[in-house]
Amino acid sequence: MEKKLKNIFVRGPVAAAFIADSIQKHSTQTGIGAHSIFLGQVRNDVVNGKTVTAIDYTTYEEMALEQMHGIREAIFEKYELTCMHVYHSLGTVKAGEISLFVFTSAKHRKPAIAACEEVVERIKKELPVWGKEVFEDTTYQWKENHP
Amino acid sequence: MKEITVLSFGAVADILGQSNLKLSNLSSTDELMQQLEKEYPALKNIPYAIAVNKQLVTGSASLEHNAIVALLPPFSGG
Repeated sequence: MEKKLKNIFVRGPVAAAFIADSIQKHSTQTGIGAHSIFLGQVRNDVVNGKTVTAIDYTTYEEMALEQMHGIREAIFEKYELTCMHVYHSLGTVKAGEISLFVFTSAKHRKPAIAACEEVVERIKKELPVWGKEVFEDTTYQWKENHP
Repeated sequence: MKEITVLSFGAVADILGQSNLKLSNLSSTDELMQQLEKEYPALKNIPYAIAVNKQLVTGSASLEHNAIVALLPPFSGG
């Protein structure tokens, strides 16, 4: 039987209010002593005189969710985490908006911070997600991630 | 007849002009790539990885009936 994989994808940008709510929800988990949060924001890079106004994200969802499941298991194996939440945008996210939200929580700060960083690096490297950088004149180029 | 589905993404989908292709009678990923590169020569100029049934493959992999082959240009999420 196919296991149910946790979805990480959201349509459009991740709203600041959603992030605030996510933090608020953890107030009942009083064993947590540290949260680490990474927010990826769409940057208005200038390429050959043209400015990026938005990134349009697509994914191979079935594979991405399987990969993410593997990352999640490896991270919980490696670090003493209480919980971890990941949200990645699909579709259009304008410059200045949030496209990636990674949230790790633990009893102590070190595992929370290290796990958060490792998850972000692995997401960028291993998830089949593509960002199309759209310029103001509607031309585009495929984004490349920096190591 | 052996049928396979080819999914393409990003820059590869741009070259193929579609993201979902049904092909038949191909026995390996090498054979598939030869056929696609013949039909779409621009494919030779861009990097991409291949996944069969969601698993990345290195070298040539054999294709079963109903295999799903995905052509994956470098990932750029986040």
